[in-house]
Order: sequence, then structure tokens, then C-alpha cells
Amino acid sequence: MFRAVLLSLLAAVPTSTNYVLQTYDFGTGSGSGSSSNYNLRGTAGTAGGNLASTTYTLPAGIENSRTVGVPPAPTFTNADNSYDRLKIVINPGTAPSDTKFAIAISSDNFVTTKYVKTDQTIASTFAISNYQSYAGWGGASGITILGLANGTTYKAKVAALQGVNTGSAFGPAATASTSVPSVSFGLVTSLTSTPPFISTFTSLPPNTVTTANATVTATITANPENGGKVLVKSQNAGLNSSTAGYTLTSATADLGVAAKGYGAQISSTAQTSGGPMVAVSPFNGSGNAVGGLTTAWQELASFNSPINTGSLTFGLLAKADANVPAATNYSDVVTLTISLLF
Amino acid sequence: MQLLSSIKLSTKKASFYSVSAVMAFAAVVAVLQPGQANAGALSTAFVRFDRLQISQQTTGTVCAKPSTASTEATVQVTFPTGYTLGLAATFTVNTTNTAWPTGGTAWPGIATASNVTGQVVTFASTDLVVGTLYCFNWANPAAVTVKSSASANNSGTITTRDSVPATIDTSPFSTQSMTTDQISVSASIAQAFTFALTNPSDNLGGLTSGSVSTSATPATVAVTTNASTGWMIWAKDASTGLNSPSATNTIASTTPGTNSTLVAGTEGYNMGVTSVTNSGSGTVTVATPFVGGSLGKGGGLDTSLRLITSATGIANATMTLKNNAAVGTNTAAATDYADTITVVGAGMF
Repeated sequence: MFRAVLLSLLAAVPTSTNYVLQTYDFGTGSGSGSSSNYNLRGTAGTAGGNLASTTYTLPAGIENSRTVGVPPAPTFTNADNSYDRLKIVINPGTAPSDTKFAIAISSDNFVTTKYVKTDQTIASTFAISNYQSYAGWGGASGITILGLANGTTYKAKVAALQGVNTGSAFGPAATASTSVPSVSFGLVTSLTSTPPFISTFTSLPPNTVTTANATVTATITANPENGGKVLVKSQNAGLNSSTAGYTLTSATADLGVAAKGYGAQISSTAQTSGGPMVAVSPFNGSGNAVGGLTTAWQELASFNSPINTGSLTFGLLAKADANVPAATNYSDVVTLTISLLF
Repeated sequence: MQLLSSIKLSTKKASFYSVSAVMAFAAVVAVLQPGQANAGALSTAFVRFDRLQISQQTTGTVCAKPSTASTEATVQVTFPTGYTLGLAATFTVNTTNTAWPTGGTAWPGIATASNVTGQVVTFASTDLVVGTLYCFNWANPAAVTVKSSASANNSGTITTRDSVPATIDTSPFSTQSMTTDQISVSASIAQAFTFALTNPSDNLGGLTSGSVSTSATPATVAVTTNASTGWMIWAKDASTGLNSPSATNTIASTTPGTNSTLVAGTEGYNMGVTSVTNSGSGTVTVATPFVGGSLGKGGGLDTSLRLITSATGIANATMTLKNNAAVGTNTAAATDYADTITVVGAGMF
């Protein structure tokens, strides 16, 4: 009985055509060898703990026959001066095409770590669902990681998973910083770049569309993720003369057709990048079409993303008829403000 | 024993492969910090200052879109450094839509600020729904005064809190203070006054005692002006009647300064304003002595200017002036009865 069992066990020992390994052991995994790039310690048997060098980690236990490589550092940037998001482009290295990747991010050098979910937000928990393909992470265009703190430096690193058995450790980290919410808003006129800003209709002959002598240019550089607006309102909703007791009422109209009126017309919009700045109806007319100014805030122009050196220029047009009383003190005050969706 | 070890190892190996992926994650998760109750970020944070000009008191609007499900009890707005804040009682609020961002809805439970500490103003709130953009206005300019220097990137925060109070969501905002946020617009409209007299020659034809004669082609006076408070028209004549040099006789004006209606066979002479058209917003009034409209009705002229018509406000008007004459059986015959009427007008600017 014992012989039969022994023969049966012997049949399981390593053999080849020429060799039979009579005795062998996996040992306890002691000792190590290393170079500048690798660190390898015996891993069989009961060896515990992970071994790591700068670029590689070898978990305890028997090494898989094939392990996906640790991804190189991603490209991590804040190209658009954002205060709550950063762009990351995974570097897949030599990973097979079916490799999936997960992204870890930290603002304290991974003392605490968060993970990027597939909806681009971050969470403290890590799950298999955090992995997705290179294409899923935006491929060469990358994705934007959302919900970050402003004015903060982050590190991000990437791990790979290929097939069902082989997950790499997180690779080397890349660094990027969020900005703080910012806005710079300014006004000038075509006559002066310093206040006070005055735009004058030197005369308003009857039945003639007249343009005030100064156009107004508003410039804005701001990084609200949800864009913003430039708003306008008028003190008098028209040109008012206290001595004549009369207001040349502002209204949306084509002054070429209307008998009289007063309003604003945007003549141009521009931006260096972002935005874009878009003139809003009714101020986006041409010819003699003007948007009526009111005592309530109205949208003059808008942009739906951060904008760099956005600008809008508008002029004021008016037309009187013979029934508009003469006076030298017609006036209005146009106020502008900004409405930013951070 | 060695063989037995081998068998056990094989068993371990199989087990390792079956769970290796899970272990890989476990190894990573093992280094994670426990889940933290971190505050979220508002999906949208918005503070609009209705004045950006330095040292100006201002009203404004606060909007926020929650991203974290919880039960809000208060909202805190931290105004930028340098902005001067009034007492809590000055932070009265309303939920009137003053060009709010698209989708903005009234902030539930919002009320006058309960506390101002430093730059932080605390308002009451009730529970908010994640993904909804809520807005309110602070309505009293005395609540906030823009800082006294012009600068970009004046940052603050909006924070929603629960009843603990613990932060639910918080996000920053930024604004600008500037030397001026206004453009003064001025205009002048020049004074205009146009006065035109048509049909200046008025031939009354042959006068007989059997009828009252009147202008067949009466003169008209047209006034176009932007005089804000109106205008006046006066008239006088050269002879206080129709004078004939050859007959050395004058058919005298009938009681200058009063209104009269001439009667056939009774010598008399007057002028009446018989019609007025007005395209302006003002009101035109014919002076009582010169009200015409029926045959022979009007007022006598003399050598002094007498007011015949006036207007208040902007009135662009055309008036018809008819001269009337009547003679008696004893009126000296002549072919050269004549008069010269002078009409003048002036705007009241």
C-alpha cells in the first residue's frame, strides 16, 4: 500500500526525457537581488509583503506568468487655467490594446488617495469599475478630472489591468495644479481708457439716426467653468432731459424705420481663446437696429466656458423727431456688471 | 513530507490564481484611507454684484447648485476681503428674478441674514435638491460696499451647511472691483422753430351791404417747433380796419380785443381762426377774441400785437385765418380798401 502511494507521488515529480528531479523545494523566499531598476526577492512559499522599486512592484506569492507593465506617468495639465478640474492623458506605454487603466489622484503626495471614476469625478473608494480602457479615458485627448479643490497641486498616477489576472501597481505620478477662480473685467471707450467714461450725442437732428461719439468696449478674462454674462442696464431707460421734462425712450427697434428711439448695438465681439463671447439679442442687430435699454439688468453678451481676453464693443444710437423737445441736458447712465457661473 | 508540501503548494497556486485579481485590488485598497466625510463642491457658485465700482454700496444675487444630498439648514456667503458688510439686519433678501442665470429658481427658506462674522454672512435655508440652481438677492445696498481699490480676482465662497452645522457643499467665486462701472451718456437736441404763412394775399372781393364777405382763399399759418413748453402767435394790422386812401375812409376793426360776429349791412371787419390741425403732443388754444368757425365770427385787429393762438408742449400746428368784412349802405365806395396784417410767432424753449 505504502509503495503504491509512493510510486503515485513519484509520478508527479518534475521529469523530462532526460532528467528526473528527485528532490526539490520552494523554500521560504529569502534573499534578494537588485539592480538600479529591479528588485527581486524569492517569492515562493510563505513570503509576505510586496517588493517595489521605483517602477516595479512584485506582490507576494508566485509571480504570474505574464504581468501587464506599470503604466508610465500620465500627462497631467491645467491648460485652461481651471480652478476645479485638471486634464489627464493616460500614457499606455506598451500595454496591450485590451488593457484597462485606473487613475489615482492625491493632493498630499498620496498620504490620502482618491480615485477617478468613469464619470470623471473622484471618490475615496476604489473598485473594479474604476478601470476602463484607454479609449474610455479619452485616448490621446484624455479626460478632465472634475471636482477638484481650487489653488491646489495634485499628483496623478495610473495602474493597468489586462485580462482577468494581471493588475499592475500604480506607476509614477505626474503633477498639475488647479488655479483659483479668477476674473478681470475692464471698461474703456474709444475716446479714453480711463474714467470717467462719457459717450455723447453732440446733436440729435430730427429724423436722423445718430451714433454717440464713443463706443464702449468691455474686456473680460475669467475662468468660470460654466461661463458667464456681461449685463447692462440704464438709469433712465432712455435719454432724459430734466429741463424739458421729456425722455427719449429706449426701445428695441430699427431706428431707420422708427420715428424716434434710443438703444445699444454690439458692433463686435472677440476673444483670444475660450468663450466664445457671443452678442445676445436684441443687442446683436446690424444697421440701425438697436436693443432697448431698461432699468433692469439685461444680458448684453455671454460666453459658455472660461474665456481669455474676451471683449465686446457696443455703440449707442438715437433718433429724434420734431416732437422731441429741444434741450441740452439729455442724459443717461449705462451700468455694466458681470455674472459668472463658477 | 516534501511531496506533501508539493501537493499543498499546488493547491495554494490554484487558489492564488483564482483570486489574484481581487488580491491586486485588495493590496491597493489596503493602503487607502478610510472613507472621509468630505464636503462636496457646488456644481455652480454664483455671486453677482450689481455695482462693481469701488466704494459703492451694492445689492446683488447669490446662486448655488448643490451637488451633495443632505438637508441644508443654512447658507454662508463669504464676501471678498476688503468688502465692507453691514449688520445682519441689513441683509434683507428677496427672490425676484433679476436676470438670474438660466434655470435659477427661488431659494427656499431664505431669510434675512442671521449673522455676520467677519466676511461671512449666514442666511437661513431649507432643504435643497441636488442639481437645482437656487438663487436669492440681497436687496439692501447698505449691506455690502465694494472695496475701495480696484482689483481683479476678489474671491469668496458659498457654503451650504446642515443643522449641525457641517459643510455640505462649498465652492469659490470671484469678482472684480473697478474704478467705474458706468458710462455717462449725454445728448443735445437743438432748438427748432419753423413758421410759415401761406396765401398771404387775401382778396375779399366786392363788399355789399347785403352780405358778410369772408376770405375765399384764407391764409394759413404753420408752426413746427420742438419748443418744449409751446409757442405763441400774435397778429396786428396796419390800419385797424380796411382803409381806402382814395375814399379816405376806414371800415374799422370791430371792437379789438373782443369776439364778434359781423352782420350784413352793419359796417365791420375782423379775423377769425377757423381751423387748427395739430400733429404734436401739445395743446393748441385759439385766443377767445379770435375764435372763428362761422361766417363773420372773429376778433378785430389794431396796431398792437394781439395773441391769436398759443400752444403748450410740443405742438406742430396749422391754423387757418379768415378775414371777414361787412359794409353798410353808407359806406363810401372805393376799389382800394386794403389792410396789411402782420403775424408773428415765437417758441417757448
